[in-house]
Amino acid sequence: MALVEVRNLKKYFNTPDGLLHAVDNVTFSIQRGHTVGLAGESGCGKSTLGRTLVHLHESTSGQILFDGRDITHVNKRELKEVRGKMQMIFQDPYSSLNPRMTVEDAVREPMVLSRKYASAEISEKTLELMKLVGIDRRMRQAYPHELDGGRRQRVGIARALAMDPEFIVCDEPVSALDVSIQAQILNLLQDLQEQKKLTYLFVTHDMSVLRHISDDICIMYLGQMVEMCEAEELFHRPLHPYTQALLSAIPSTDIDHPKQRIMLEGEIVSPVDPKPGCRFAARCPYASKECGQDQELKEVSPGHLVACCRLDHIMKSQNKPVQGE
Amino acid sequence: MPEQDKILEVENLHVEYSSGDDVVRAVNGVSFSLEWGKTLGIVGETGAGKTTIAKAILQILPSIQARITEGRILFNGEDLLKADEKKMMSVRGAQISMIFQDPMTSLNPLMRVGRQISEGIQLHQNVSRKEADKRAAQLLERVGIPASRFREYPLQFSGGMKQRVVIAIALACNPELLIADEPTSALDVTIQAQVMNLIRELQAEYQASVVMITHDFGIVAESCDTVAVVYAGQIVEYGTKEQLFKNPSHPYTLGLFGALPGIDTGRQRLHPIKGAPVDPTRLPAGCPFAARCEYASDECRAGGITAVDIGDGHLCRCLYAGKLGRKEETDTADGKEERKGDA
Repeated sequence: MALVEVRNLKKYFNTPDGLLHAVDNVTFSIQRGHTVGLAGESGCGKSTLGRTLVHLHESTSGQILFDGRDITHVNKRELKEVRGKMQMIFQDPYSSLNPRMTVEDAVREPMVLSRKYASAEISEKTLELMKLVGIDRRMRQAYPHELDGGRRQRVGIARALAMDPEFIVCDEPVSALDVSIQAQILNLLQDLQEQKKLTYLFVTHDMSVLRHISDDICIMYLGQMVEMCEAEELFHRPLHPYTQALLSAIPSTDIDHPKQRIMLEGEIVSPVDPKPGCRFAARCPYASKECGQDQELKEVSPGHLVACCRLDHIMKSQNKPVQGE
Repeated sequence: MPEQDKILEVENLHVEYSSGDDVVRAVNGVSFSLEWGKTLGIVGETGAGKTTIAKAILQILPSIQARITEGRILFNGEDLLKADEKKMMSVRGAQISMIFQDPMTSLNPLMRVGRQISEGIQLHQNVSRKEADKRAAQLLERVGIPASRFREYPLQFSGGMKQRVVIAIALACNPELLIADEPTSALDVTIQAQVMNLIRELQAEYQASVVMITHDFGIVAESCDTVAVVYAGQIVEYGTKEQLFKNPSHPYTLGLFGALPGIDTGRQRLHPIKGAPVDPTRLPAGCPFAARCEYASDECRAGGITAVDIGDGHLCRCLYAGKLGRKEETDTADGKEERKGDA
């Protein structure tokens, strides 16, 4: 069963220029124990979506179900209860930790605030958590500025785990880290998922990380989902023209087989009061008149959803069957 | 100007920063050279000294904290470290120019973008303001921005367009050498592809030589001829792109390749490099990578490690350079097999 279900979720922001459609009518679900990778370019609404799920933003409309229960509108007391189950790991471990709190205090804080534990229990659990995420005991009195990026992110992860959540939104947790450290954190997140049967929504703009961590993938463009399917399928058979361009733009380390690039013209347009119709049309090499209508996600093969009315045409021009082989 | 086959030769460069009582040894004996029209990639992680090397070439290091303690930087055979400030003024922007990492902060927010391009042309090429503006407008068109936006301000431009403006500024005086410091790190992947394409096109058009500073092996694979891998201010491995990608030999280079989530590898476990980068205020006497290296021995920690040529100019700064390289070669060959099987 799906642990998280999102139906027609919208999150709009009022800006001086008009209504910013950060998340626009998004429907998807996350299976228990799975990692859903959520990718797209900056400003496409992927972080806003993650934050809206854990109630860091109030949704404008739509429905969020957690473990079968509607949590779209919750009062303060209910929110506290829900938050214990769904946590977040933030992008920048340099700004997401309180600089005046030691490692130990930072990890304790969620448990203290919850008032669910006796103080001896908290101390014991704190040490356990630190061990779990790989922070040495001797670091417990250290302040964030004394830690490198990797260790800070470990503290962020320990905090997220403190209340034994079932679901964690990981918002670009390795983007601020160097390659060698990034690999340590990715491995840690995978180990924790296995041990604690965690469910992740993993927000990233890095396609290699996306491929590495995800079971299922959602690709977002300007507040809308354009393609959703299993990770393997997406990388082998990307169908939406935006996904195709996105994947082809990744610099490859294979020096013997340079890739064919699909060069997109232009850049992502503003999500403020968007015009009706496909939002990618302005950059799409296959755009036609039909793209002036709003696009709907359609299942083109089992479990593979694409929002593009020109799909038949695109597949024909690329000599690919629309149905999977 | 004497005919040189090398446009740039850096020899035994040392740079230190002082901060309070600490001395940060940012660059420790870096040597490399660049042939005309070629691209050298400098790869490494945060704090490895990549940007310091670039700034030392242009001598735009912060003069209060930074000191070039040793070395030579030969540009067209002439030592830039012996040049006076007046000479450097005529080199910077005209013969050597730089594309900075962050287009959001490298443009002047209060100056129209067109003027930011024409300023350099007027200064270096001794032409009228009108003529400089005309050339700047052409350059703007060349980097893919309509000349009608000449009089706009940076805040009216998106990140990718700002970086195009920065590129136009860098190319305004037709430099012989272009230093690109992580030119696409702040950009989204589809925009990154556009900008990298533009840089390659313009490099061919202007016949410029390029020093490409990056942390991304993908960018190196696609646009560099030779590569220097930097760790703790030293070049730990240096060779042609083919040598480095087909036969990575230094444990650090091998570690970086192992830590990279591959697009073709799927969900298999990564092999991170253990520990964290070395503190540049407390560099050990021996190999700076020893603390994180799985092959390290007491000999490594004792010091006196020099770069060894392991074949056709492929340099590796490791005591076990030859031996490890061969051992690892079979290892990585296996790794590749595995990957293909997976895909």
